[in-house]
Amino acid sequence: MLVLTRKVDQSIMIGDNIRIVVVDVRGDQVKIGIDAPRDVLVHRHEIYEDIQAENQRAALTRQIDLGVLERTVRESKPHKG
Amino acid sequence: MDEEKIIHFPVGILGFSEYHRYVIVEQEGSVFSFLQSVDEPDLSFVVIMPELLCCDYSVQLNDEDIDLLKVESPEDGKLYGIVTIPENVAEMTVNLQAPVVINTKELVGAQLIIQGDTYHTKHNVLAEMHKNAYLLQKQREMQEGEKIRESV
Repeated sequence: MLVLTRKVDQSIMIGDNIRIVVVDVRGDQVKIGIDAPRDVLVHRHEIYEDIQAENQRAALTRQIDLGVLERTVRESKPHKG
Repeated sequence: MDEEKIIHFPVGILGFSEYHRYVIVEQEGSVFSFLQSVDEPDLSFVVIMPELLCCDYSVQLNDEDIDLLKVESPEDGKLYGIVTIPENVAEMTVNLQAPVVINTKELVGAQLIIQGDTYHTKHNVLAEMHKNAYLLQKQREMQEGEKIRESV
């Protein structure tokens, strides 16, 4: 991994159109600004991983009958409390 | 396949970024639909309109999202939550943290990520539905109560 040292307000270019700016540093927290084209997704890594994993689980691996889901909804009873 | 209904996902669904074309396959009388990849027959998701689960569910689009989805007015957008269906169907969950937003006019779609911790990736569908039904019932009761008071 490439490691660069930067000060507050200094930035890094990734390619021609992604700019990463160090906005603020306080203790062990770093505030980062990102300028990127709109088709480049920018997210906290843990959230990104979480959603990607959920999508993988949601992608259908077997035939699902929407009628069965519908019936499950209709026949379910509210939980108490 | 109806070419006119193909929705273009410039960024794709997270984890499936190589697929950019989907269709929504609805089934009459069902609150569930399929989000089906046009290019990979084996890739599909069950989706549900989150409004049916949370009466106050809404998504704030930022400027980038608006540009990407070419949204001109709120009516252009349709929201879907991706449903995960485990072995026991009654335990199905919906991802309300990363809804799919589709511009039905321009036929562009994207999976967005809602910031903050109001929503997460695993809301129990049945529990949310009952909660919502209960809230709607309460709302109705209050409205009727007001009507009764007014007529007295």
